[in-house]
Amino acid sequence: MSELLKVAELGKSFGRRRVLTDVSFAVEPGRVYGFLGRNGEGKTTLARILMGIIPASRGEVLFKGKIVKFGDSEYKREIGYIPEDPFFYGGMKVGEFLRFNGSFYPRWNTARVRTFFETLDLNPGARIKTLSRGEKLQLGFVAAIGAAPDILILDDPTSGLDVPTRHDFLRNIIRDLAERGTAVLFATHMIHELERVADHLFILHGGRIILNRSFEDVKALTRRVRLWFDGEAPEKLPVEGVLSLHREAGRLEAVVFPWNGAAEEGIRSLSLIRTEIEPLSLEEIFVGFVGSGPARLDAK
Amino acid sequence: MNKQLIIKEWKEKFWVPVFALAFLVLFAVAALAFAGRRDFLDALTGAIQLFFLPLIGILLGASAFSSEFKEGSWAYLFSRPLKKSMIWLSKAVALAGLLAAIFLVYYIFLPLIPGFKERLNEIQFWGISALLSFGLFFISFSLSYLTEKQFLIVFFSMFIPAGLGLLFSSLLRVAYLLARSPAILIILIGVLGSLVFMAASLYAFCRTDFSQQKAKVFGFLKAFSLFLVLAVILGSAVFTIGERFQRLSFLHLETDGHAVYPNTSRGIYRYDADQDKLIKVSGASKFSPGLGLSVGGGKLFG
Repeated sequence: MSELLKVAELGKSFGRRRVLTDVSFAVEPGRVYGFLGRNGEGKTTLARILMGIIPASRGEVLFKGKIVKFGDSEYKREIGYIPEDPFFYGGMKVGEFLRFNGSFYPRWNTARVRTFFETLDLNPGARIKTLSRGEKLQLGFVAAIGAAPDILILDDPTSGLDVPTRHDFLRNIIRDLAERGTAVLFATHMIHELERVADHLFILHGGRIILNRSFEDVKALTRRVRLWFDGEAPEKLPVEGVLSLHREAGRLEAVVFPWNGAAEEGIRSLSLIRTEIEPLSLEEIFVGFVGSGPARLDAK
Repeated sequence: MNKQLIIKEWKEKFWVPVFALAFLVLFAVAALAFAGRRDFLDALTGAIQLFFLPLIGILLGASAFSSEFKEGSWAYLFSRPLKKSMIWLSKAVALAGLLAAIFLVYYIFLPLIPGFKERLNEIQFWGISALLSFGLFFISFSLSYLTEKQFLIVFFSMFIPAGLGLLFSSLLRVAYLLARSPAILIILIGVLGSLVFMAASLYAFCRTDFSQQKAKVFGFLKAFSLFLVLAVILGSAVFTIGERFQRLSFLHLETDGHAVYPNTSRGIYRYDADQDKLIKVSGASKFSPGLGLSVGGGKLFG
């Protein structure tokens, strides 16, 4: 499948502080990419670099095979962006803002905007400053979808929204966009939201991408193992990819990625009284990757 | 230029022309109330042209990026498919248009107000007022994206040009113009100075990281230094070359015993009667701030 977006060894520093280091990934049409990471791990910085709001310090971004330079604007016609804090002009009315925003996009689809707008509880005559956070987010989606983007970047827009809005609105829109061929890059803290829509998962940690896998792979290849030993538990496991390890007396608990034949073989070689191996939820997987485990994966 | 951005600016800064019109009414009321006070009307007529309208220019320029700071919408604008230069130019054109409209309203309607009509026959500063208003507007506009503190922009817009004016006047060999045409000198410094600010602002606006305050300011200062040097070199070159091609115009004649020194626009000469020709003894008069005019570049008459 053709790559819409390619990011190669991207880096960003603010003064002496490195925020992103060697970030590389590719984006294909019709897929939903989830970005997870703790606060301050560079998700917003990455989104802003992709949108040309701030320049990268190193590396390059290619959109449809062409290198994107800081200051280029053409490629933004095909990318929608909804940030964490929607920043619209408060003095504008909803309808006025949509006309203003639409004027920047040659592919602006008025019919689609009208159809989508009718499903929402937005008054076109209302001033933007009077809208709730949820309504502003809805407006942001209308503005982004109207541009018929090939890529939609969502930088944690769901935090602070009520559960019904998150549950139905977001999921329906993201899935609808993906079915139309739009690639969605969704950075969030709401792991449950991501779990329901993502096809692919990135985990940012220490400014690097430490996991770059399809969602099925991540779910299928991450396991929690609980091991009971006859006597004292060892300090290490003879297994590659131990993300986290908790040891107490004769018991040991670990999260392992990737869980494969070699890992199973390694566990079988131990002298154990009892063994429990179980899959994890995305939240547990995330904690396993960014927690204080002894191992780090470099999935670059 | 982007039409939608221009309309947005006009809507956002609608208060400025309203403010200016309200003051026009206030000035009219004052003129009627003090109809017999010629000194008051003289001062007011001058102040409107040389203080009030330039102040409107500064305020309008300083507020150029205020909405982008207040609502964080600079990130919105930068994420749209708009060139940064387009954003900058659209704002500049929209606000300069507003200033031009205000200026035109004052230019047309002030002479219609009884009291001002008579005073404007004698106190006419429209030219210098336009230069000051637009010059200061472009300077404050150029600085306005550097900080959200508008009072700082207003402060710098008023005091930086005064310092730069002195610098230009000494560096550009302006005595030549000062002695003969002060209007050209003032226009030149005003236009050149404003252009340096605008060029630096546009260049830095398109290239620097907007999220980093220090980088933004240093980026501007770097570009400003570069364009200032270029402007001084360009200005000096134009004067030097221009002087050579200047028509020789006779200003006055000095005599010293039997020697005759015609002082001309190109410099001071001595007339040699034996050879029947002019021998150049000095360039044109030079001006240095604080020292005043130096006749013959200091070579003649001490």
